[in-house]
Amino acid sequence: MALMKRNPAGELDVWNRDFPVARSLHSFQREMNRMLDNFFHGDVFDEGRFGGSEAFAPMVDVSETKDTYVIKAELPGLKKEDVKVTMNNNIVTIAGEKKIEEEKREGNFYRMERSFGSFERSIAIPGPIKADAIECKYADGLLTLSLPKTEEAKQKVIDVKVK
Amino acid sequence: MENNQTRPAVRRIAPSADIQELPQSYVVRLDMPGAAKDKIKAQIEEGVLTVEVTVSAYFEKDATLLLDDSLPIEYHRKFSLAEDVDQQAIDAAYELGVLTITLNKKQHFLPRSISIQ
Repeated sequence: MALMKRNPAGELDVWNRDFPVARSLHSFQREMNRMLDNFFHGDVFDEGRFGGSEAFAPMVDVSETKDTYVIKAELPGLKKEDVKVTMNNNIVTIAGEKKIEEEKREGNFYRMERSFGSFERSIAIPGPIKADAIECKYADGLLTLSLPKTEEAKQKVIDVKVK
Repeated sequence: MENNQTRPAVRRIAPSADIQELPQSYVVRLDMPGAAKDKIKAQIEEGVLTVEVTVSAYFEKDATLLLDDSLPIEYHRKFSLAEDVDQQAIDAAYELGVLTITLNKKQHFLPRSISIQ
């Protein structure tokens, strides 16, 4: 899994402490358009999370401790090599492609709930971080990104001297 | 916030599943990222397959959460099995956060060709 700089592309989850799960309007609008599109044109089960090539968004949790921001992304079924994590302008992007398992192309399906296809999720980090000390681990379908804060970001309380 | 005691202590999630039927078997795949292999419980009782595992909370207790929730996740799902499943011949493997359960069919349900004398 490479950690490299790149230009941010695609949708961006905007978040801060006041609006924890606010997504960008653009992304919401796109989602709505897609839903309407599926509703009016053909079967919703044709693509998307049901095995098509359309993008899906993995579940992402973000937390903050005194020293670090921690991002956890659920990427079950993905190999380490299929995930790419990039960082640019304090925006972390997790992207990759989950290919349908080879042995899955035969037989009948009674349920097909798991998602396949390419995905990309960007998360804006609210404070400065030490870019060269980012840690990225992947195990059992769970990606853990630790982004250590810079010294000045840790210092939350600033004493102002009154003269 | 005073409503802390009404919140459940776990996030209960039914894992996403694919169920595939092959000539000799059924294959069930469940997305359960972050589980410890030896903690996954899968058992069959009266023709019902129950799969469960608890994954510890993603974050430390004192962490400020910026997105989503931080509770242990309890994956739990039940499947009632078709009558051609051989309940003695079940296989499970956990890899990359996906639990794959292979349920073999009983011998006498398998397709076979009958030779004409």
